[in-house]
Amino acid sequence: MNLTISDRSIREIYKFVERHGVQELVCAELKITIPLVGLSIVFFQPERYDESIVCYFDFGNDVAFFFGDVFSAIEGEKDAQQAIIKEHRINADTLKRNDDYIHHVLEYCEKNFDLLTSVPPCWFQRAARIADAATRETFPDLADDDMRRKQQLWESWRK
Amino acid sequence: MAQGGQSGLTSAIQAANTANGVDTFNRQLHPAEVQVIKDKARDFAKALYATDKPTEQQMAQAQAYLVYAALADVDNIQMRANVLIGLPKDDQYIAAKQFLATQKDTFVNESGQTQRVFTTKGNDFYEPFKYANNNGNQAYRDFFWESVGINLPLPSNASAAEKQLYLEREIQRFKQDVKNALPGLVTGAVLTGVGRIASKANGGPTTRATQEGVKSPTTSASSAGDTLVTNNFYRDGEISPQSLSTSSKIVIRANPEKTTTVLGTYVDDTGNIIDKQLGYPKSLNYLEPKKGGFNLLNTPDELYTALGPDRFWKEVNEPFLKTAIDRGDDIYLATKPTALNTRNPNNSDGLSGFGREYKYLSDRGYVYDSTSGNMCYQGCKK
Repeated sequence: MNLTISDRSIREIYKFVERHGVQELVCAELKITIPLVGLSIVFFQPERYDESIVCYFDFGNDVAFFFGDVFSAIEGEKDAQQAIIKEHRINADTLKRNDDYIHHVLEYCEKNFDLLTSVPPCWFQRAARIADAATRETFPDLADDDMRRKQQLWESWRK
Repeated sequence: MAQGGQSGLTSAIQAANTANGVDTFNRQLHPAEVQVIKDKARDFAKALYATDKPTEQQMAQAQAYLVYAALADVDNIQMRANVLIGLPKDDQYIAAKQFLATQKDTFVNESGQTQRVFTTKGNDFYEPFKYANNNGNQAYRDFFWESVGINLPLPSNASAAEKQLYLEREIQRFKQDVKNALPGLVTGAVLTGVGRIASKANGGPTTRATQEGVKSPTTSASSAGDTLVTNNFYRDGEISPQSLSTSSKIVIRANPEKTTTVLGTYVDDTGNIIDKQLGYPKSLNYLEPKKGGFNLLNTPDELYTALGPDRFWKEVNEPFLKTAIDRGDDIYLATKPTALNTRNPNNSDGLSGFGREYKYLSDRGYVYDSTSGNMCYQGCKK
């Protein structure tokens, strides 16, 4: 796994897994995946040299949302994103930052478990728009592809 | 204390220095840093060898590790030399680095600022003559000779006695080299040392350096060293792979006529390619062509730590990409770019490292072809 996290985070993850009857925790190099029904919560280290971790919700087939985008979609964009970024901005103690981040994410997932795992998720369309706005300016081609995949998944739920 | 030139460690470093073009004019340690090493070498030896009474040989070895770890902390060129022979994988070397990191002594630098020992300020790390004026001090020169067998060059106003001593040490060094060269290997004396250390670092008896030596009896230390990092022999003793598997399911093949530059996310692809598929060495020769081989950015971690994310991007990553473009490399993305992997909410610009690379190429007219994984200028020809 090799993520820069302490036993505290490992315990929190396992508690979460136990509470929600997750059968198998998937640990890979620089990545840990908690599979739920319909989506997975993934913690991973996106950069090579920077050990700060990020969380995303993965629906498979290249449909995924950063935790921050989902959080903003549910809580409102105005302050939510800022709160997350500021609270978990990279600082001198990456280990503590990562532990705090995992704690924050799992606590939020615990409180909003039904909302997050509902099908179709009520936050999905809004989070898609937030993610699209973050990508489109720099990579319009990738934003188009991403939105198309998300719409396909959304439509499959609506049928 | 025994002259450090006798130890395998020192032979190895000298070999790497020779191979890597390091001369004795690179950034030297400040006298305060030398004093800390002298003062703390016994403590380090005790910890390193788990004994209250380290032997003279253990003391010498411990001090040598401290000196080379200290030099790598302050001098880019020495860091390159250490990386070349795999010292960063050596547990004793790592212990020395950690030991030095805990030292809190300070000194007043040339700018009149208080500076913590074994750290750099400003452009120190790349300033080749920093503190070289200390070479004029006999005790300073003696320290390097006795601890690691480096015969520092003399100042222009050296006395006749100093010149005589310098000459005697040069002769002693030469004799040691010849002695090392005789048993077994036919290459150069220094390669024996490289083999010994690299073998330890890699956990196996066969090394690139020794194999090079066997293949080519006339190989010089420097040409073998160059070969180590520039040719396609990524992994010790094995033929380099000419194709790479990727998370995008595309197989990337090396173009025999060109350098093939490969980009991707570390977690999905480049980590696996570097460590498992190629055994690609950490190196600072990321601007050199690798005709017929693969080119990946795999610099020592210390470089990123020293520069920080923004300077690393500007001074290392961008030049790496620019050089690949200017050279006309085949450029492949091992990882399919997506809205997710090109973003990183932790970064101030919201882009991941891979996202920045993709943007850099896209902004310059390169277009990704999802069928081949190739990024071609103005799109790939079908």
